Amino acid sequence: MLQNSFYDIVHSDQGGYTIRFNASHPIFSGHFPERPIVPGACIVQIAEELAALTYGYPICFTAIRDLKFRQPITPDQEVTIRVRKATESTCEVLCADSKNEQQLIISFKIYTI
Amino acid sequence: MSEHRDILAYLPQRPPFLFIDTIEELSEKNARTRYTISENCPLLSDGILPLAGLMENAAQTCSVIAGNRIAYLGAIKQMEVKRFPRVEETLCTEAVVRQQMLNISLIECTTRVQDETIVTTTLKIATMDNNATK
Repeated sequence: MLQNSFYDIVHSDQGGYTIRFNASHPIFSGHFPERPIVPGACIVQIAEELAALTYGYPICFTAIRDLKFRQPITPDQEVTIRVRKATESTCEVLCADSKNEQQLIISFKIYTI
Repeated sequence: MSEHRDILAYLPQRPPFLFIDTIEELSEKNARTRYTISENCPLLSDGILPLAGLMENAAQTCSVIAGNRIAYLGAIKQMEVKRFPRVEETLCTEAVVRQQMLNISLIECTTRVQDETIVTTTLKIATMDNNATK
């Protein structure tokens, strides 16, 4: 669970969560020592945790399709992550800069159980 | 730290965000790595490595092929998890370059625990010369 250690939710509305990273978290000392960047895999993990909040029950991501990383995220950047349920077993995740949600950073489709 | 000795020359990641212990095989077109899931792994969830951790293991295995160039994970075309491994299990991940265009490589990854294939992933990695960023 990365919530409340690696990141905090600072705002939420209708399936969208704006989060702030904890720049002193040990993950940043390893990724990367002289140039901290939010690991893309952490955004996927955060999305899995936020999907559980959106759905109201635990969600397990089992497959991914069409994930695109468009630009790096720095620890001081606030991002908004939206999890949209598409079908019973699929959802779409969008991660954008919270100041400009048109500026998509990461997007992917997920299969869940 | 000694268990990471082999890998530190090949990857910019450092503990606790290192998802490879050793490189078993390496060429211009493929790499095979081993990672025993540590209880200190920051992506562990109730003793299980979730999809995000398996993704990072695959991405770092692909990065090894880039050698001293900087590797960026650009996209994951598909990733399928058949079973989630537990702490202390050892992942053997093999990455094979399927296509290369300029600085973009399409790489297929297979992760096994012993003989059991538990994850397949197809990724796009972009590489940059290390000195270009300095």
